[in-house]
Amino acid sequence: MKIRVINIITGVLVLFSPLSYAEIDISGYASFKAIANSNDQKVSYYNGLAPEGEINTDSRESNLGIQFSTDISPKMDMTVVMSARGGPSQKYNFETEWAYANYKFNDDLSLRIGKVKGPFYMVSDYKDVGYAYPWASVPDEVYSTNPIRSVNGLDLVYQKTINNVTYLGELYYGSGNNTSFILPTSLTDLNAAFSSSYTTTSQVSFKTHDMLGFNASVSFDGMSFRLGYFDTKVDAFGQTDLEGSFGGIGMTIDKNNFVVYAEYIARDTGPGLEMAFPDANAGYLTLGYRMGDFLPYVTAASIGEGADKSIYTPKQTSTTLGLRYELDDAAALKIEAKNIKPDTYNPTPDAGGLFDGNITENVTIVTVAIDVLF
Amino acid sequence: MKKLFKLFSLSIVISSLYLVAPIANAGVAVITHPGVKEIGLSKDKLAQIYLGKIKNYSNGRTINAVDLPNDSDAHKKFYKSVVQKSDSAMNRYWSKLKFTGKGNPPKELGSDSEVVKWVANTEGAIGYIDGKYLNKSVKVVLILP
Repeated sequence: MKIRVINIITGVLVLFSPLSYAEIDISGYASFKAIANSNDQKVSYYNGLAPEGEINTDSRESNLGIQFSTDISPKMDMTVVMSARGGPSQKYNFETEWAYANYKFNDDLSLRIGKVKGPFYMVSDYKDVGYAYPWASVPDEVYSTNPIRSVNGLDLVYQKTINNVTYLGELYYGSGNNTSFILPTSLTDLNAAFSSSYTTTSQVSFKTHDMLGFNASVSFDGMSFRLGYFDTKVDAFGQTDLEGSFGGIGMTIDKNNFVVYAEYIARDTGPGLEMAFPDANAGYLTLGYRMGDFLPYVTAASIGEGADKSIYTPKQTSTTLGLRYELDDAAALKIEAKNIKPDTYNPTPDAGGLFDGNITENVTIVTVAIDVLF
Repeated sequence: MKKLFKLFSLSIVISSLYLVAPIANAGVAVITHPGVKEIGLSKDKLAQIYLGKIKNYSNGRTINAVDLPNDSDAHKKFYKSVVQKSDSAMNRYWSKLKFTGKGNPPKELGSDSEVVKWVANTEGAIGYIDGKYLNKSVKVVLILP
């Protein structure tokens, strides 16, 4: 018994002593946003993100993250990201958003084990790092379609540059506990079906498991093209093993002052998930031009029906005009105005597009953001 | 004898000046650990190294690149002439990789003399410094005028 205790103590010492001597690299990012929405029908947008008629300075889109990384050995490193989000429900409380150990087989191939970021969209694994992309807000037609942020499991990453072309291949497998807002388009039917009393700002928990996916990209000469797909089982609303899949293609160009971002995604779900995650196709195209410290850009985006037509799929198109200004080498100020045209032929009475209620007019949403790195 | 000695020492001074001068005036020197046997390191290849795209020398050994702070003169010259990206463009580039766990920027040291010391003592090391900090503990692979 005594020996076992000593063994445990030695084991703990062996486990932790290298860490106490290792250098811990601390870095972080933050985005703070104020959002205003004006429409005559007093309808808020995207699950209470921009309440009508007020300037929302405590936005859930505001966030800050601190990343701790350390080398445990030449082959192994560890990363923990603590993140805090704004908004009425999250109150900037820190939580462990990602935590994983990374084993390098060689300089090109590594395996991450733990809670890793999910590379579901083109920018999803750095969606919180506003400094990294042009927009004040990621186009929500596309980025509202998948609330999953992380994968608890394994992530095999291969990266290699040959003749100035960088190849990335990533294969992941795992599970996850997630939360999602209820689609305003299905709120009434969902509450009736499950005798619940959700509102547009309620968040529901769901589990993903047996998730298997890949992410691949080719980058050269200021251009990058990516392809991603995953298949998962979903447990939600008391049902288990529902089927869901998600795929996307995307490209970025940042060359000779021209900036292009484009992405197209398709969500395809099986029976039981129609109300929460109806099939949907969505896409956007952003064009920008760098003029010194300024980057004006325009984005056209849309979300609409997917493979199986569903009355619950939010449908809208939008045009956004925005400007990014480099305040500093590690800080950017952004302002954008997004004009949204919700589908007025939406047959459900609850909502138009991603709005929280029925709406028949075009609405402009203005976002001001400051993004920093530290 | 005295005269001869004077002449001799003068010639040493001249010859050493001759040896040192081109380097001292040269601006930025790209240096490696003496054990690095890499020939023909072009600006393009150096840029790829500092973007984390080339991770190994031609013989397969791992590259250990080291950087200087943004406000140092050598950093400004090196990034303007070799990597050809602004500091904010570099921050955008690395933030995408760093916060997705797909790459880390080169280790940053506080001064040119720290870089010399680190490169001299680290296998596979490569760095750049203001030419006036150069000494024989490291190998020069490229001079940026």
